[in-house]
Amino acid sequence: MRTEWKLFFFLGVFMTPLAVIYWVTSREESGIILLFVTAIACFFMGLYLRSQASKMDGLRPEDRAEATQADGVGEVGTFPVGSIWPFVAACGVTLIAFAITFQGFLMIPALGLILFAVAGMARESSEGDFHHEELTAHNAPAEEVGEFEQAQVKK
Amino acid sequence: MTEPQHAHSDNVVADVATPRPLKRNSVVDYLVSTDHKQIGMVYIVSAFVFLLFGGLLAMGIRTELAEPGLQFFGNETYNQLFTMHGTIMVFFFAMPMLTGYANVIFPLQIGAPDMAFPRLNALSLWLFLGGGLVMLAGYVTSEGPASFGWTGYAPLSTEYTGGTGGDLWMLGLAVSGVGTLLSGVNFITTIICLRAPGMTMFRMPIFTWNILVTSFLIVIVFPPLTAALAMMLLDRRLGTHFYDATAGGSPILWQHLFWFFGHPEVYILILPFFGVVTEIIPVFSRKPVFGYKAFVFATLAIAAYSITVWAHHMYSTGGIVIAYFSATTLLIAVPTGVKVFNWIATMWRGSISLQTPMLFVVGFLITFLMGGLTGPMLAVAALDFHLTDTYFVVAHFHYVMVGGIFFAVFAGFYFWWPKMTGWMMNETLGKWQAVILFIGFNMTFFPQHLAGLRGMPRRYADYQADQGVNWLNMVSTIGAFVTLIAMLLFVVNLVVSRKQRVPAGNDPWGGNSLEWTTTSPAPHHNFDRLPPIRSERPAFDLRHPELHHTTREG
Repeated sequence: MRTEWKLFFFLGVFMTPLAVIYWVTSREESGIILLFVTAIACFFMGLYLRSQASKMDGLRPEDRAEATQADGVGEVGTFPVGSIWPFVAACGVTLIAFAITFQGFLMIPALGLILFAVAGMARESSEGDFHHEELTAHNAPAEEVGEFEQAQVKK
Repeated sequence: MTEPQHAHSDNVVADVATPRPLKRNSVVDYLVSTDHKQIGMVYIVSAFVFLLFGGLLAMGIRTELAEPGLQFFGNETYNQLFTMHGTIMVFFFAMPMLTGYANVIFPLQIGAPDMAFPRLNALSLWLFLGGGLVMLAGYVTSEGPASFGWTGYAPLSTEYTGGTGGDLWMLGLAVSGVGTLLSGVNFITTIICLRAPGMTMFRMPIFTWNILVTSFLIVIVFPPLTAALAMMLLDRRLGTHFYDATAGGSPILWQHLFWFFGHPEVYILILPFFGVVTEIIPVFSRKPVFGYKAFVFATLAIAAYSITVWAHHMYSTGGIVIAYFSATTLLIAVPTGVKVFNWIATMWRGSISLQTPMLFVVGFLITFLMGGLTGPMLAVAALDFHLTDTYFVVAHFHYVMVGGIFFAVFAGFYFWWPKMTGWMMNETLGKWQAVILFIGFNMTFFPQHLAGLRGMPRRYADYQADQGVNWLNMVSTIGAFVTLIAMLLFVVNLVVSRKQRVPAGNDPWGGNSLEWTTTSPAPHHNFDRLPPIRSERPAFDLRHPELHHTTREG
């Protein structure tokens, strides 16, 4: 995580003097606010990542130059197999745009779609067609690796 | 990891036992897909459809301008042509093209199984397409689509242009802009949290680095754009006065907010394609990339400076401190120059093979350098006042954007298409396309420099016959049709290659980064097993274990 938080800090440190110079030279409000908020946001992200890094014991496998793939063994994360709700939510948002420009009453089905999609996404279960699968990386015995290689050749 | 025979002993097998419950490649499968490769493909395909549409609009503009006088379109139709051309090319061709490439390629390059937030990724895609639909809906309204230029300057866009087309323009940009913002968040999280073991930050391919820096920019500048668009919509629909000078508002505020988004946006568009080029040059020069860390820091410096140069678009407003923006604009040329130097140094004394991707990259280097050189010229206020809103600016912009993005898009397309689909593109047709595109592009845009120097203003449907720009415009129009031939060749190539289906294998080019170690196309969750990562060229190390010596500390 060290490089990651330093990146955000770098941007913040870079923006601050430029924001100050802009303030002193131009006194134009919108630019001053935009530049300072940018600097603050970068520091904010950097501090957050830094606090996360300090909570970890040691470096993650992806931060260690000598890490082997075996160090990454364990749960990688849960990934959805598929989900219709992003599509439904985006349909709702698009409908809102049409409601604003063409017909106000379209707002009702639009908001309905969005609520429906948000509820659907939140309630998406771990079973059925759209379940989330837990992805784990594990050490494969040598013969299994051989099988994978053969399977790839066959493809 | 020093001994090559260990290369296979500590491999990791991702759990891919769960089969996908739905049939692949059906329409429904794409609608519900949260797989980054499928989402990326939808992005790329729809970006090409938008490119063809935006290209047709450009052909309309060039046809009208071939000779003085109004031949084909009225003034208002012409205004709609260049407005929609600019908007579609920037927001609905270049943006989805970069998110598409980013989606398909960079999780493979860092050994991630998918995006950090797959459903958010799908939402970004559908918001982009929804925004595009809203934008195009302007064509079915009675007044037609927006006609105030892709920069939407107030008060032209707030007071003097009525009609729902303008409202749809703002809403379309806002909707797709939110999608892009979510993509940016997703990319940053994925790169920070889902890298494979051993893939330290300073071993990531330059393309992934550039996507990361681009995502920073997206997250910083898209919220101001959405806010500015919302205020403009309120001005138009509800009669507020944010940009109304007569009621205490400020039309310049729109320019500040728009260009605070708009200039970093140019770098958002170009940086990923710098990354594409940086991936391709070492592969076809058979050399490691020259100055890896310099590339990374140059990218960061460009990104940081790009936030501070916005008002160089606003010299002629008289309301800004020119010295500040002139200085930052001249400074940003330095890290860009570092990149160009490094590209050439990478090719220098390499064993260069001019296959189609490399041919496009060479075209990119020439055109982008020419566009880049006119940039510092325009940063000098004395010259800029003379050239503002002339065709010189149009030529500069198109040399940077079309030269930078177009050539790199096709280079990346020929380079990664085998990885995405498993079959090769036709080399002969590809090389013809590259050569014709280069000729057509330069014929179209080089004369526009000269027309601009002779004072031809942009965004007019007509020009005077005695202005000395007649033949320049004729050459430019002929060039546009040559470019069209190159585009048609590309479509022909797609059809032909699809029929031939020459299998690509895992690694048709002898690539460096991790995506070339998996199958083409990559399986669900990308890797059946990951090779050890000991340098920024894991695929190269796997092919040549005897040469293994590079290590970078993260």
